[in-house]
Amino acid sequence: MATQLRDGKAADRCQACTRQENLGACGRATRPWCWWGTVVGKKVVMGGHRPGAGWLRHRPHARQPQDLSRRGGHRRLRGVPPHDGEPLFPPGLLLWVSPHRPARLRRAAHHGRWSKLTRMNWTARPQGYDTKRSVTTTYAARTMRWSGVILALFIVYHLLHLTGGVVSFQPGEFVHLSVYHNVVAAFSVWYVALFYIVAMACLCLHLDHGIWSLLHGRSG
Amino acid sequence: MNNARTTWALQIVSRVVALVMFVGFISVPVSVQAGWLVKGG
Repeated sequence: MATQLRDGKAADRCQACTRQENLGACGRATRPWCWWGTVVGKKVVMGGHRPGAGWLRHRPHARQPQDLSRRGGHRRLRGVPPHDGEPLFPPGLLLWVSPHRPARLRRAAHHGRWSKLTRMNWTARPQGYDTKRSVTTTYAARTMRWSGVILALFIVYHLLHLTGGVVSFQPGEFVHLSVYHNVVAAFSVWYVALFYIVAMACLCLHLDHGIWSLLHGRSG
Repeated sequence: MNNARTTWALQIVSRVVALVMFVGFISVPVSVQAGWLVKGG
């Protein structure tokens, strides 16, 4: 329902609580898009990244991603004798489809909500504070945008590095789909390992506030 | 889940999950640097 605000802008009003400032936060939103349009809804959408490192196995002779493209691969996981059949998917397809494609869609939604949330935040207080003293916030909350930017850069590097093999490898060192070999070769360089650890520290901070915000924001 | 009783629990849960993921992810580069994972191993 469109409502005329004091500044002349029209905005939707929650059908349940009828409070513009808490649109949908009452948990009784009558329409899904009522809750979707709230800060809480956007933060919930921003939650949820699945770790993409599930393909790593700790020995070269263990199952590699291309093994999963063979029919009956799941039987070997359960200890059933191997079943050699025709490839169900082209070799390497699942390496891209499973961990990365859904993650890319989530990242697109994640970035879209981040942009919207940032604009809402800046619009809510266009002028800066004369004196700013943090009272109840945390370091993780205050650095969400910075850790997010660092993580975005890290994701690009990560894909170019361990998936594409186009950066940080000597010529001929990267072996396509040989995950164990590539990971060990990559992290043998100390500054690459250090960069990953720093990026994971940013991820830890980001998740600390992100998960709390995701859970805390739900009414009920 | 949004009430005063569960706020502290949510903080702990989020911190534990974040730390578990951090430790899990850095275990790989740390293991390589420590020599626990080697080429051809």
